[in-house]
Amino acid sequence: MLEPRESFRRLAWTTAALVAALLPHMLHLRIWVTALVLAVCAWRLLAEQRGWRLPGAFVRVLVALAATAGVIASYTTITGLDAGTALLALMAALKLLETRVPRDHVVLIFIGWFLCLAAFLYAQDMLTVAFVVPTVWLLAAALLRVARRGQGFGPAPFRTTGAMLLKALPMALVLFLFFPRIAGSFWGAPSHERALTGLTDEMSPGDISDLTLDDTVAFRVRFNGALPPPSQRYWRGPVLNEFDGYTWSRGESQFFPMPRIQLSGRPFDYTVTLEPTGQRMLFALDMVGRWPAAMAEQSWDFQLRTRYPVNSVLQYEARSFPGYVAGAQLSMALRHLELQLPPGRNPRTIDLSKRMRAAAGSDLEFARSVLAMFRDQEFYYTLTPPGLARDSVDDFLFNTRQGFCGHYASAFTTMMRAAGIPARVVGGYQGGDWNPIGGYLILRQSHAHAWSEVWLADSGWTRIDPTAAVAPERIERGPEAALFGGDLLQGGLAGGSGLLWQAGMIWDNVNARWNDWVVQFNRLQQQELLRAFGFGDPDWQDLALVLGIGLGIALALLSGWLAWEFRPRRPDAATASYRRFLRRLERRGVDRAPYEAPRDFAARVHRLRPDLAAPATAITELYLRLRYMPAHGPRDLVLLQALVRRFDP
Amino acid sequence: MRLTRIPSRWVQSWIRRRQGPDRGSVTLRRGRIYILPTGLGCAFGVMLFGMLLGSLNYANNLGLILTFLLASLALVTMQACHRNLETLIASEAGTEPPFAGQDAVFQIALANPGGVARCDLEAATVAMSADPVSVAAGGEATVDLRVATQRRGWVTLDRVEITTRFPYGLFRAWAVLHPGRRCLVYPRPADSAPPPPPAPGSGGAGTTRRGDDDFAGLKDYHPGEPPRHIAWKAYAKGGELLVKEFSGAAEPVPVFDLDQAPGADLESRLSVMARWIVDAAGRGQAFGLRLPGLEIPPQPGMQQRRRCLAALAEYHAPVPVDA
Repeated sequence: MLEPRESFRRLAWTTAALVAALLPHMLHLRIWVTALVLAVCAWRLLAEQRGWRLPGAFVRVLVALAATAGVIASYTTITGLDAGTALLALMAALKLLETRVPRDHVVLIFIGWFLCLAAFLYAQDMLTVAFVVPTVWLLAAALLRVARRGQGFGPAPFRTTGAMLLKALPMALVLFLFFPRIAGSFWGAPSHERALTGLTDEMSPGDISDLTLDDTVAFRVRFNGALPPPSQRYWRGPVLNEFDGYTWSRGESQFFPMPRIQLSGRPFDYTVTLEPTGQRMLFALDMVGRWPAAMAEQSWDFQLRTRYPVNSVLQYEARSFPGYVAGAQLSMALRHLELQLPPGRNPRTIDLSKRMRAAAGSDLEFARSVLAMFRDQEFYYTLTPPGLARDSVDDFLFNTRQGFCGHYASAFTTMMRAAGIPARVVGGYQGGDWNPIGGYLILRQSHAHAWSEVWLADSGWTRIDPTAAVAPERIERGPEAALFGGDLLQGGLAGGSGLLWQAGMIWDNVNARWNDWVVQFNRLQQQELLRAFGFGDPDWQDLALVLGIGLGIALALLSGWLAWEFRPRRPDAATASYRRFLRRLERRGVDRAPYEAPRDFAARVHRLRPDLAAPATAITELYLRLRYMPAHGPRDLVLLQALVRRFDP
Repeated sequence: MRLTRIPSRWVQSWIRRRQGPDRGSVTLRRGRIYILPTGLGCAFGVMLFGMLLGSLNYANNLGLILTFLLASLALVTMQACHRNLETLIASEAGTEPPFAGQDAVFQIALANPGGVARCDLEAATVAMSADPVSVAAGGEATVDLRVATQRRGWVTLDRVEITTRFPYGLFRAWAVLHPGRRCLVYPRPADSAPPPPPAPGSGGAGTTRRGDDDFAGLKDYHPGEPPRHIAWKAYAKGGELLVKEFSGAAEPVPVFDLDQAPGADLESRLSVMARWIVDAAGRGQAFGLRLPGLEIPPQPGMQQRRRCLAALAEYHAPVPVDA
């Protein structure tokens, strides 16, 4: 039976570790789950301290049923990452209510480790790691505390566990590098809701301006060779075909045959490392010619769509061509879709559009005249435009005349459609910050952009960016430049020489490397690594061989480390002398029993060998004085050593 | 708690055959330390497997790192658990003969010559285990192994397991010792016994001029002499334990004879004898013992008590019992 204080301490350790494991989840758990778990933790600790009775089985079953019902009510399911995590947290709370013996503690600690794993399913960035590592450590320390069977002295749990984790690190590294990965998955991808910022399959006026102030990285691109000029850095994202007069959306319902694409020009090869979007799209430069087919397929409107939402960092290689003729033939059905306008909405725009088209000689000329209108009339580029009425395009064109890319793209596309030209809005990112330290391009949410794509009889789908007509700096140098004019920021954030800017770039580079080397380490990189070890065409047997050798080396290192730690310490000089004295007596047949204290032994020597009594007593007393009263240290030691040297029975 | 998780007789006899008997002090070397995962260790393995499947399925590298780190931690604790026993020196310490019905205590000294403390070492016999002890680096600890006794005679400590689950309880390492140590169990003193028959006159086995009446002088204390005779004032002055001697009427010194002890059978007569001896020694009295074929001349003191009780215990002793 444990003494109550120790029992409380164990409970406190376990509870603290569990709460730490729960912390990263508090961002996404329903508030009632977090509150309930924390309340149970607090109550259980109080109950332990005050000696309250723990609830009986009936109450616990009732609470378990209520918790499950609560999860179903607020998540509508009990599977999936969100509901699963909530259930895990609630199970831990329930277990805490009946935690008495070490086995219960162990269950809690195991749940804690599962919560850590779940935290990685949500995010794999360095911040999460910085949070989870101490938690794993704390959980292991709690296990050490619980697993102690003796009441006697023992090592400090946290420090000992730290030392053991350190020793485990080399083996873990070997396993990570060489453990065979599977292609694909055993079961489906994790699905969870998350509040991610970024582009979606919908765009209403004002949507993108929220993003424009957001410096979060959307993706990073490393070019294998030349970079396209800024004016061609259009990263195609969602293509929005349907318009209800206010909001553009992708429209899932229709399927069309894949149009032909003719590619030309010098291609650009690059690798994109995409941060989680929660969406089913990949971004690529227009027009993409090659991409990992297993990962995504190209839709009829030239988007790369994935099968599952991108919920973790994803890396892919792609090749894009600057010149293309896409969809030179337009089917009737598609033409119908791309001309669709909500009946009765934005009447003034439609009217204006028809008049302007009649005045223009061709579709292309008409498009130019609309761009000229944006440029020459009083239109302004701003990120804080006034709100728009239900007929958003009319309101924008004839009243407010202030807006950013989304407004211009929406208005332009509407005007094109009104004039009988197939057109659509394309969302994506435009531009990018060059990171000279890492040698890659950073696309931030602030680079989110929207433009138009119109179908012209001789060139197929053609990109027209109406924002470029109003604010050409936006295309060349980014949104800040468009807003504040070029000079203002020359030495500032966008300028590229300030200390802060440099630190930011270094930090971003660290994040990029983290993604490349840790988060994205996969089968291909594993094979590269094996090739570096001299395996020509590595298969799984080579992998197993390297894994075995690596583990062997790591284990040998560990064994050596432990042997060094456990090595017998050399006794101090006094003990060494006393032991020599014992050995000499042993040779004469006087053996000290293990349970005999030095003085008892001296008394026995006195009885057995009265002739040795005097030196034996002197040696024993000197030894004891050195042990327990080390004040006269050096002199006593010299004396002791001299006596033992002369002691030769 | 029952010690042997694999109580297979075969395994035990295999271990006994390969290790041979142990006498004196035994260093626990690699060859005689066995290790297996505990139930907790197996549960930990199942948890790791689940984490591995999940991480592989979602190609979650950080999850994999977590899984591998915990797996490596388990391997480290396996080594640490093994090392927690390795190079320990187990040696015989004292035994204290009990009366039948009490526990025989076998002491085992565990010395740690290494530079790291060894924690939570549990020594156990088949029947019972001692409280866990920890041994500091370079230190020593003594474990009391209690063996329940039912009757007089010899108890043998045949098989001892020294077990540890330190540090995390994921593994259990143990070493088996076959010390073959014996401990004598005295007959249980009868709860009530008639007073011993009076000594035959003054010409019996001898008398001493000692009694309780008149102070005669001081003499050195010997264990077993009644505390009320200790000269506490002299002790306070000189720090030496002295006993007051009294002279008085000559008291006949009894010699306890098995033939004169009442009782239905041998065991109950031995019990009565044990009672007489314990009482006489408690009073600080001198006494002798006579068994068929054995005569111990009268003497006072603890040594005499031990000698006489041992003689009783060994008299037609029952077959030794393995502990």
